[in-house]
Amino acid sequence: MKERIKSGLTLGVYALLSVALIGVTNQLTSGYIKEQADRKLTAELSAMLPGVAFNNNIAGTCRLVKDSRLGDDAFHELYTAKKDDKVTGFIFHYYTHKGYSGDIELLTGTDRDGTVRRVQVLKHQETPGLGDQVEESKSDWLKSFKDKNLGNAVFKVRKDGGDFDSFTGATITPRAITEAVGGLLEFEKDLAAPGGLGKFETPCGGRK
Amino acid sequence: MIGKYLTIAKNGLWTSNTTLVQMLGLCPTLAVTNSAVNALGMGLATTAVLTVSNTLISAVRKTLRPEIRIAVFVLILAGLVTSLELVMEAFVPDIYTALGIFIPLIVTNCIIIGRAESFASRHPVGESFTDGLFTGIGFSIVLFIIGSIREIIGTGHWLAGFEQLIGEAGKSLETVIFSSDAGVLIAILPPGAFITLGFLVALHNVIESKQKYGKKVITEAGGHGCC
Repeated sequence: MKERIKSGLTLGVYALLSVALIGVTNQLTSGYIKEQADRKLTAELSAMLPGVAFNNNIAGTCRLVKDSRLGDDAFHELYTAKKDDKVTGFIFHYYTHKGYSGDIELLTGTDRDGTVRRVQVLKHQETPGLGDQVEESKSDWLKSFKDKNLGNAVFKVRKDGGDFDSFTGATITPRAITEAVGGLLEFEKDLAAPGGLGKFETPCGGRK
Repeated sequence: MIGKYLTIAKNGLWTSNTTLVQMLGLCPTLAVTNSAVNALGMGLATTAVLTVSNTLISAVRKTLRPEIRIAVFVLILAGLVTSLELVMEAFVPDIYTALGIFIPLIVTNCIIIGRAESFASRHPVGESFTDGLFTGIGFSIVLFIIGSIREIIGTGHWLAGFEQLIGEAGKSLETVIFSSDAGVLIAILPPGAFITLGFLVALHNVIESKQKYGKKVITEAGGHGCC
């Protein structure tokens, strides 16, 4: 009996040490991790709206939006591009849960009329070598969204009767992203309508 | 004295190389070697964990009762790997993204638990440190070779994306060997990993048997394969 308690205590001590190590590392690195993420975001945002004119500080326009067409009931981030106080485009920062491995974090820029300017994957854990073709550096697939809108394309992969390709050995990842973008465009129609933006006034209050 | 360390180093690098001889850690070996930079990133991450874990486990080996030994190994490893994951996310975010799920999976890498059990828990700190370091380097070298072969055959390029690992200077390291249109796709798909690994194991066996018997004798691969 005494032996067992000893074993249990030893195990407990190691568990504590292990947690302490992780806690300290987290403290030391969280600033850098946030910095890396912010740096990435600023760079990504300014490149999300090719061909859309704007002269406001997009990174400062973040507000929270919630709509089931964005894939779930959680809040997502919306950035608004304006030229001389008139809305010219939107950038959505949201997630799809339908990926193969964990959530896929997406950034999508559209102009005011609901035409996609650019889609980008910020973070994912899709299978290296297969699903990671959704990274712009690895394939041109994301470019197939450019200039597409609900009027000129069906937002499904070809296998499901839509207009978008999937990759050899990976259908789930492109399907998740294509449907996420399609849902977003439906929601964008409401946003671009008069008064649509006024429903969402909560500022983001720092990036997650 | 120094001879002992040399033997340990040689074992890790060649004689009982984890990948080519013991066939351990095959999951990351096959999964992330689709490019040289991913392979090297994985190799270095594993080496870091392996060196630290071997040293730590060796340092505390006398306090460990046999019945909780493995549980403590796993706790130490989980702590180290999670910390490594945070450090990588902070300083090499692109590699972190590319390696994805395979970083947390270092915890279950058989090489690490294998070295902890069969070496670090029975040897003093200095030897365990050396063993961890050279086993890791041996693993990294093999991964880097497989990654390079697959990347070259598959894409015609070598060392693409190296700036993710070492900063802007890495960009100039990318070498174009032939046009990427002529790449053989299968090399970067999973079968390419098996085929490349098979050839490397065969090569290792040929060289080993030549040394041992002075003539060409092909032995069977001695391993049993694992995670």
